[in-house]
Amino acid sequence: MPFQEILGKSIDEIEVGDKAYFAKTISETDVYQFAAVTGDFNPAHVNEAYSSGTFFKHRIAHGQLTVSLISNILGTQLPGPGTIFVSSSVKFMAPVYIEDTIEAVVEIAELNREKNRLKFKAWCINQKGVKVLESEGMVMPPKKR
Amino acid sequence: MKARIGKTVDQLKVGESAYFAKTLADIDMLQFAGVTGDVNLLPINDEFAKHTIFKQRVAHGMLTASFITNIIGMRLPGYGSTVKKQKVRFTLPVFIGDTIEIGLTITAINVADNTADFTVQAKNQKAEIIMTGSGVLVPPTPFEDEAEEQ
Amino acid sequence: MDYSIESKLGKTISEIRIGDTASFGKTFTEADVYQFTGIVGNFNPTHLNKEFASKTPSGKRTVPQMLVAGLVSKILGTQYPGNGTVHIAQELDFIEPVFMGDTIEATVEVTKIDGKKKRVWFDLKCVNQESKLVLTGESEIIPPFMIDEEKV
Repeated sequence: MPFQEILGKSIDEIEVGDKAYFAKTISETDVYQFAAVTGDFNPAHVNEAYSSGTFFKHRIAHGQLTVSLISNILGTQLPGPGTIFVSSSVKFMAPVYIEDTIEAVVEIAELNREKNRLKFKAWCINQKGVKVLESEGMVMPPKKR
Repeated sequence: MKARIGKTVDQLKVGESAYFAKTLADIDMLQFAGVTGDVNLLPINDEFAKHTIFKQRVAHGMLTASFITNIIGMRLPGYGSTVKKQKVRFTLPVFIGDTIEIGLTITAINVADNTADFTVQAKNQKAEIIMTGSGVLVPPTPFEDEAEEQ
Repeated sequence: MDYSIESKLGKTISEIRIGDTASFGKTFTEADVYQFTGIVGNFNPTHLNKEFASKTPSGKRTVPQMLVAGLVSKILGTQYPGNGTVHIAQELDFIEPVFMGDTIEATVEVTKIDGKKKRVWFDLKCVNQESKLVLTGESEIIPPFMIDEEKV
């Protein structure tokens, strides 16, 4: 497969306001696998008995797991493969529970065609329409030869 | 990179305890079956399990026993520890969704041998005892060049 | 569903004999270690951190001891006696460390049968690819048994 075919959008192919989406129901397996890969066994994620006594009442997904849905979009859709992640900041607004369905949205906010950088806005909402997190950051889209 | 190790034998105290708890998920049982090869139908087949005295899938005893090493390797003594001997008894079945809480207590320390004796007890969310045990562990020893307490 | 537990059940107590053996061997890879530590939550650097492990007496990352011991669970649960075996007690003596890439062969042997209490005891021996003994132990199990007389 020609290399150029699999690359995502270069900066010339992107406009401010462009959007892309990814949604997933967060399963218990996802949360447990994330704990397994990262080492984050905070009981808030893996201990239902403990969680029932906290403000959240049930086990919640790791914040970074939800955030990673955004990097999915950046790396596979907009801009897509070849994108280099430069920086981002996140604000966590509501907990994500096991079996919540989360939709992540990335919107292009600003383009710097000279430096080949763009700023994005992103957010995740759950099945009840509640925004669970907001993020913004900077990436370098792939360059096409 | 500094090597962070857990408590060395002289830092342990008789009577010291540490705990670990996890709610058992389907993925835990399936991954344990997969990585050990223990595809005994009792933990993984609902239809089979229905016809046993337990009526539902029962977690592998060795999965519960494996959580002991979480405490030894992570908390007490911590990084760099190993186990010399371990003896466990599974007293009640464990089902998916049960929260297993394990407590480990240091019962004796042998500085000359660099070992420590321990006992363990595991309970479920109904405070029923699901496992008891004891053993001998080996705390970490400081590395020659650079060692830092965890 | 017409489910015949009879056909799936492992050896019942009447079919077990003292001296019977069963074996299973496996090469323990990095993938096994990383999966296992992930289930159990044991992120001890002796298993996961090359730099750390290089400073320990063994010099290399070791395979978690309970992962090696899992071989006995595999044999009892799937080979002898097999499906329906309930693990009651396990004693383990860890003799030598096991490293990623080692192939460990575990063998169990029936040593004692208690027909009244319906318990069977097994001796366990695990050796590595150099025939070095790495782990020994004793298991106590309830062998599989039928609770329904007729097929459902």
